[in-house]
Amino acid sequence: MEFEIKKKRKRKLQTLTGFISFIIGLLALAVLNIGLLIETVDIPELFLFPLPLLGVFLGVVGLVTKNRSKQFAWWGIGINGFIPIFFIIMMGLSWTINAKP
Amino acid sequence: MSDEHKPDQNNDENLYKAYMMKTKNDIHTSPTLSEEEQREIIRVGSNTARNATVMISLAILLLILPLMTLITYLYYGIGGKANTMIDVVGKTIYVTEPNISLEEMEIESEIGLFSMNVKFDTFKRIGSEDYLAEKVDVYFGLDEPKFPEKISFLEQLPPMGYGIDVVKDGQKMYHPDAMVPFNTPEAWDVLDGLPDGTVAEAYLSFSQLINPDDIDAFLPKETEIRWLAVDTGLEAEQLDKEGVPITPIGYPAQVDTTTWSPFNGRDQTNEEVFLDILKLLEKNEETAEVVSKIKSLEIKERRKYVEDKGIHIYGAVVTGPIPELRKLEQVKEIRAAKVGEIKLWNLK
Repeated sequence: MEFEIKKKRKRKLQTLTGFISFIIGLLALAVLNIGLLIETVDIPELFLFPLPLLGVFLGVVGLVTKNRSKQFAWWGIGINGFIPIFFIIMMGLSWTINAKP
Repeated sequence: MSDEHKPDQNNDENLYKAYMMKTKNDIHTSPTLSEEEQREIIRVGSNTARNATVMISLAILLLILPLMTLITYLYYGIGGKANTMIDVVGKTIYVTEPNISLEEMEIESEIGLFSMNVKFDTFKRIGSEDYLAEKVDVYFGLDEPKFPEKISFLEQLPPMGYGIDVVKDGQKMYHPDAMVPFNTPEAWDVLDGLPDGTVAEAYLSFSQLINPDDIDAFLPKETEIRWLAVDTGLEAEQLDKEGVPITPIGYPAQVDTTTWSPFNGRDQTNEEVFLDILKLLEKNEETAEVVSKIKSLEIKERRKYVEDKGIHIYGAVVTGPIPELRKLEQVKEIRAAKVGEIKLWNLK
């Protein structure tokens, strides 16, 4: 009985790496939104590939952390994975629409 | 129940009581949370839940624009929908606007949210130079076009409005069996009044249907034929079967050496390209009608007529120096003319 009450007192915190992954995802997503709103093609590459890939890595690390909530880690992986995939698909489609040599 | 079972029953009851006593004792002696600690847990829990909700909501909001952009690009990109629309817009111009060409390489497409703008410049050949005629912007909401926005650089402004206005103001070439609504000698007076050092375009209406190859024979040598108006069976009446006015359709007379022009003369003659364009426009007639601002193009019927009867010309746009254009008055095959754009001498 004593053991059970002590277990209940432990709060399930978010993983730090998962949280950082989520924050990186939000930051990259915000930059992507700004780029789309001002209709520029010069979105800094840092926010399209290196940072999201770091976010995915941190999210995966967050997933394997024990006794922690993995909610932000999953979101971090999702958002950070979406950004490079979005960019690659957009590049591909842009090449097919009104293509010129 | 027999007597031999009674000692066992008493034993079980004792065990049960002892267990219950121990449990009650454990509960009283085990660590408990003070009210303050409980409040702290609830406060931290609610803060954590609120923060997570806010951040996830923010993420969802930030995902809306990229997702909508992606869906738009997928809509236009998959199956070549955008490319077909751009193709239809460009080719509609070639066959519905006399002596107008465009640089296919310079056609721009801007994709917004669930919409696309097709922007391009059109050119008119006067003398030996191409002059910027219009800047055109066609808006598509998904695949539904709106009337093009045009900025004209011509001295003679193109017809405004839609449908019958375009027909009334824009028609300058007439079928041999149709009545010419303007004063025929006026064009010759205009040409007589213009100085010799100028060049112009002239819209000619012939007195009979002519084979495209025979036109060169009676036109002055220094003139260049730019566009040919094709008899499609409806031009005598100038109405479609529902009584809606129609305008000339035709094709450029000269081979356009620009790489991306459909009339580049490499694999097909201009006549063959013209028929192919009619087939394309037949499948996209609504788009073509909006882009050309002509209420009825009646492409299907006109294409069939041209395929059955062959290409016969009833009008043409020519350009050249004024002294050469004055000679047109003496050509018996020409029954009416209208002077178009005029520019300073630019022949080499």
